[in-house]
Amino acid sequence: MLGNKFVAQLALQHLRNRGLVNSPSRLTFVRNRFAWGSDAVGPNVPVGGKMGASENPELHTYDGDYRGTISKGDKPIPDYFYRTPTTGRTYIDRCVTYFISAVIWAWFSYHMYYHSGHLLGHWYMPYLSEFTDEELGIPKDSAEDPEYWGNHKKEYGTYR
Amino acid sequence: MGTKLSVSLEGASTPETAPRVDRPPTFDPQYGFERPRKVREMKATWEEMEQWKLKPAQRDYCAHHLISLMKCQTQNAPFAGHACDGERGAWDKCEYDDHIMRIKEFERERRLLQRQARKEATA
Repeated sequence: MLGNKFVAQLALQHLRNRGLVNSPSRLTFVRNRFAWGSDAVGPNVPVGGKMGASENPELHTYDGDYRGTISKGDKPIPDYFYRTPTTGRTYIDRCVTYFISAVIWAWFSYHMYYHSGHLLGHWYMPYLSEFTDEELGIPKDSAEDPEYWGNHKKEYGTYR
Repeated sequence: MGTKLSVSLEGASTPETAPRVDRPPTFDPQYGFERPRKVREMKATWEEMEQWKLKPAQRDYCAHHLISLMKCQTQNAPFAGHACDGERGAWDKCEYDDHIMRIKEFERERRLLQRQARKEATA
């Protein structure tokens, strides 16, 4: 009767012969050492998620299932709701909401204080009628006419 | 907003006295001023604008400010919004001054055209 250790080593030898396992010390996709005996026994405590059979009430359970922070005044969230709305928010939900609102208001206040010009305009935008004739270089009607280079009176397409 | 509307409406209703916005001024730019007008100079070179991949609308007389702003943004990312306040303000001010200058040219052209039409009507 061959032992499990010998059978495992024989299988590893076969894999090495076929080239799937190059060297015992090299990291490959095939495990070099087969677990048996006491090494195959895992931790018998809940370490997140689930373990054990689904009927096992001790091992098939969640680790740290959050049902509200009772010390902060939350009502415990029951396992199920039957034709009733949920029982409000939890302490974690309130903290996250507070943090997000604080960040948004800080961003808004900073930008409205330092960069309000992006929304409201930095400087005065005048109407065209506010410019004076002297400022624009418009002579009086009695003065001679400036040189005119335009084509306002001509038909479209008859000039360059 | 209102100025854009009035420019379009005047261009459609009274095209004889409406300045053309797609071509150079039609009156002598030096007329009506005691001192000769200053020639505008371009500070940013073509190589700099090509290096920073400026769009055609960004290659105006404020391009050197925009290049400084983009350089500052590249160096201070991701805190450029706070670190590049000075460059952003300088670029905005330059664009504002450019806008004021352009609307002054438009209004000068418009008033000279109206003056010409007025003199032709009275004569």
